[in-house]
Amino acid sequence: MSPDRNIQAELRGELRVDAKEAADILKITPMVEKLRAVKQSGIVDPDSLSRPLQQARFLCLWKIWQANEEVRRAVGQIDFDLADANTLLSELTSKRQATINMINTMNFMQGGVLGVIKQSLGLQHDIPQPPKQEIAMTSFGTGTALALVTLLIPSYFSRKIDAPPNTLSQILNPGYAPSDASQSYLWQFLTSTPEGSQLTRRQILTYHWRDFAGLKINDATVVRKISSAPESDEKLREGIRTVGQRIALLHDLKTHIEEFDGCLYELHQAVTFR
Amino acid sequence: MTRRKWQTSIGIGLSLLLASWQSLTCAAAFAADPASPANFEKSLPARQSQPAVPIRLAALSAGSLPALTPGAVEAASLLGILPKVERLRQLGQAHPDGQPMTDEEMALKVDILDRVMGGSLEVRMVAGRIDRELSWAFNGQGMLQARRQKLLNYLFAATFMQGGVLGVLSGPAFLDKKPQVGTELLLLASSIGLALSSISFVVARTSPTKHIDSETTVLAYVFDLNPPEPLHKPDVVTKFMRAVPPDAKDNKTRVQSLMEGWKKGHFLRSTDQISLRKLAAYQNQGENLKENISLLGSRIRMLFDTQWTIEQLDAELLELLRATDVS
Repeated sequence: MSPDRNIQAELRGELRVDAKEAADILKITPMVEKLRAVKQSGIVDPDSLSRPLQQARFLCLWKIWQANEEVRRAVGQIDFDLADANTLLSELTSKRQATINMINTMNFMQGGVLGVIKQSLGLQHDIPQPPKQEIAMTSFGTGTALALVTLLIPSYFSRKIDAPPNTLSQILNPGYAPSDASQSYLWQFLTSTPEGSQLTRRQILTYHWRDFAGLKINDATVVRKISSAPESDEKLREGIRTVGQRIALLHDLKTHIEEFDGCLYELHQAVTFR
Repeated sequence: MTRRKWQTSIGIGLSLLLASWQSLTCAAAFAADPASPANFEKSLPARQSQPAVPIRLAALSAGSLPALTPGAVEAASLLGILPKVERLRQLGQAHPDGQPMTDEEMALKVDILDRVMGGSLEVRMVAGRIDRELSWAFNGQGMLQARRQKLLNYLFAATFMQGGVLGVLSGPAFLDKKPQVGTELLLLASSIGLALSSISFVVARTSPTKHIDSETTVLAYVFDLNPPEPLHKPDVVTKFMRAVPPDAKDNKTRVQSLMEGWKKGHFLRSTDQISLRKLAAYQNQGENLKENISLLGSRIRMLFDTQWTIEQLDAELLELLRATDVS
């Protein structure tokens, strides 16, 4: 979602595309341009800057830091959601594997017990042949049934969704806007259109998940499941597959949110004096 | 706005900015404290060579100003502001308490804050990138482990099922007084069972592989493999990694210490180009390198170590801010 660099424009002295976008979102473009003009004029010692320029530097730093704090806040929330999802995934996969292991053990045990009975009957020559064979057939039949059960186990383990909605709900719900949307630079970054695209970053992310992560974004139930956001009277369950997909999407969202860090860094590079 | 008002507003602003930065860096430094029980990696040699977390003010210098900590000196040198830091400390010491800052002090403070923020942003940016690479590695490792476990589960189920089916089929043969057929069926079941068990054993002992499909990781820079220039160039972090820590006893750079720790821990078994490029997920055009569970495990460990080392710069930046907070 990062716009491509325009090296030609940069060689002409223009601001990097990502830094320019960040400056626009932070509404400090005139100040940034003013500071860059001073830098380009050959002044390298910031201590000799006039008071208005010092003020401009200070305000730029302030805004960059504010935006950086917003990224940290969002990343902290995603980290929490990730920890929650990873714990749940670990719980479900452990339960599944423990059950499969138990069924396999039962299979060995029933084979062993019935085998011992059959063979001990074989040592008593007055017992006729059919009962021994029935025991053996029971053992083989039970073994086959238990093996079939292990194949069906993976789809069985799930849990009722009771956690609060995670960060994905904010991206996947097209009508969502945070309470501080008008103040949030990060939200403006996510809802802005990167250069060369017709879609906002939020839309790009959603379509990317549809095309590459197999997320059915038009299926409201799937979206509510992955966002851990059931309706008030709805009883949704989440399985290993859903939780695994949620983790992948949360990681992806975190990565894209942290792209704003890179933009802020480039913006800072543009206004700092070296 | 009068000069006094301007100075007051900038002063308040700076204090707020410093306070928020310090609280953030304190949290990062606390999380990175090797002595913390929350820190699950206590055995890393590279970590042992790092200081706990500030502030260990060194012996007093000639004047009344306490000397800068080694970490603060390194941070200031990396940012290229050591003379400014010294000057600001002298000015802060010179003027009496309660007096407003002079223009020179204010300009120096804004400049130092500017550079410290730049360093901090760089750390955050690289740490974010490593987070992404870690998530890819965990994802790949989980996928390969799940694939192996799934295959093993299928093999176990197949072993039981073939034994069961052939056993059930052999029953009527024995009942119909055809022991030859029944025994042959059981023999067949035992043979297939033995073959499937042998395959299970081999599957359990070997790791499935997949083509490397992730982006080149920061390990390519740690291993100095000359990867393409990144989108955002972290100059300060690069210098920090290639520098000898101030308290190093063996005069080794951070990268060298990391590499040595990985060799000792058997995460880095070979330093030939192919092995390093596989670990760093760095492949040439048209190349199809493969990765397995063990390699991904080593990459995860190395990425965590690299991230932790890079985040030590946060601690040094905090030392620097504290050392210049003299007014």
